[in-house]
Amino acid sequence: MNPITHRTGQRERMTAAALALAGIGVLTGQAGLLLASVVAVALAAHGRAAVFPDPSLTVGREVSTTTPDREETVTVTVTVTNEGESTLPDLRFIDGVPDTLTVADGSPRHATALRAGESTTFSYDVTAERGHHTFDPLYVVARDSSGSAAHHSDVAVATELECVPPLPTPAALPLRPTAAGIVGETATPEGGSGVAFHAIREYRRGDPLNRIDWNRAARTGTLSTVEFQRERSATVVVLLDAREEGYVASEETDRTTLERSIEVAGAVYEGRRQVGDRVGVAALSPRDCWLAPGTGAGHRARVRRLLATHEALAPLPNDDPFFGTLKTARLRRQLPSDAQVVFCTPLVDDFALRTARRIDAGGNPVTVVSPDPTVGGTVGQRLANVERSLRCSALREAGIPVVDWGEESFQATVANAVRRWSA
Amino acid sequence: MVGVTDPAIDTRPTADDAAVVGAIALVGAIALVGSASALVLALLGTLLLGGGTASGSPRLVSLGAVAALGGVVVGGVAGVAVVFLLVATVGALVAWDAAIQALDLGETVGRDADAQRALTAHAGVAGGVATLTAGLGYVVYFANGGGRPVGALVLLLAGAVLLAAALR
Repeated sequence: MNPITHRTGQRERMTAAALALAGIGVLTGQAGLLLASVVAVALAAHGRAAVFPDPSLTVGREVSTTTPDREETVTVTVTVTNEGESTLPDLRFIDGVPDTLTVADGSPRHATALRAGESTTFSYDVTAERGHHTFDPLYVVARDSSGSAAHHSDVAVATELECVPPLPTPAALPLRPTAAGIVGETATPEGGSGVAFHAIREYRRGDPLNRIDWNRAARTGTLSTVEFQRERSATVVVLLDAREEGYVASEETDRTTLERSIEVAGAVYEGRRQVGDRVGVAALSPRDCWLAPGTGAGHRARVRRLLATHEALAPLPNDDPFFGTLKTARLRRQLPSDAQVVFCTPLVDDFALRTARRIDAGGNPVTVVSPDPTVGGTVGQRLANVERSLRCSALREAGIPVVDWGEESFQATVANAVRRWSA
Repeated sequence: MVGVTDPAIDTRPTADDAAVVGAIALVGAIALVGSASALVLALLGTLLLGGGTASGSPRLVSLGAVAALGGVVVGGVAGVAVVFLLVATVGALVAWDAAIQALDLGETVGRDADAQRALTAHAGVAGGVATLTAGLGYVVYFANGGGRPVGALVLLLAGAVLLAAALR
């Protein structure tokens, strides 16, 4: 930002006082009042004579930790030194706290006077939130001693915080049965190598020796081969609704549904990873976000980092326009043809409903996990509640399972849903 | 469901700021002890200036300034000695200026921030300028033999105004 200077007119009132006192003094012939008006004239003159201060400051900002845990309190200490030759009688500082962080204690603002070479220090606490946070420059307003001439500028200080929370406890979210059979426990009805018995068939040349049923061969004299249930890993893409509609919350101070969706993504990822599935992450957001399904420790670290710091999943919504049809079309091109989709959305508008049905109809079976942001209360709130329930019903009628996540923990919600589905 | 909003900042000055403003105004008010009605007006002004600062209300501060200066006018008409009149004027004007500064600081940095030093520095400079002018004015007034010719004072005032214009 280029420095801005302006006159505040803080002493203009003194001119009025001077005129009033002098006028009454002349009218009443009181020399004392006339003399008193000189004091007001002097204060007004002081304001008029004001020159714009040109502060020369060095600013240092220190944080107690640059890689805090979630909800951890980070103390930010700002030190400002007057490097100029002259005294700065009126300095006001506003520190550039990232929008995504909240100040827990103290104030990121400070006002003081600094003699040449003198420094001042102020500190405040912020509560760390998931994501990568860059501090904005320190905003400085310097005024002269009469307060009439102001100089606005900012001093850039590079400070960054990165908070990458651990992935949550796994949740065993079952997948949809596919045309090839049940993928829920990642076993297919085809025979092959594996651990669970499937069938016995006639020996064919080339069958591995350890799968020949020797007991049967000894009894009957003919070779036969044991087949086991062949296990196949599924491919899953967790899709997060990070449009503006994904950033709703029950109350102003509550977590947004996107935060809850990210918890779902982490829990589902961990759950599916443990049974050997390949899991990817995508988001419906103005910014592109796609991590192809994969396995392994490196992929897990990438998922953890993406869920914490990706710009498409920032803790505050992005202002850029979201072109739903284009994004959905691109997503459907990106999805592997055998991939299942776990769609995390609060279901507060019809676009989420249409997207779920469209992806499902395109051959990628969809399971919807919906953190519930609605509350009872006003008529409008109840209406939103009913509309959302109707959307859940519409999805279920279309054969898409919906896990409606309310108050309890996600893991418990999934366990309850599984019990209900298998009953 | 609600959107994400910024928490509002409390822009009222602190109680300490109000105490500084009230103390300066009180010094001015006590100088008017020679006239009962002037004293009452000036004390009312003190109360309004202090209260207006504490509650962050520019309207109350303006009312307080009018009351405090009204006390000076009433004192002048009632014939309070010129020295005390000057002390009362300095007190009223500096307190008013400090109150405006406190409101402005509150607006910029809020109630939770430490802004005491910016206020005291500002009030100190204003007090210095006002006291110096009052002292000089009184010396000129006294040198002119008690200031009986009001015309000389009018000339002094005109000179001060010209100086103010030239300084711009």
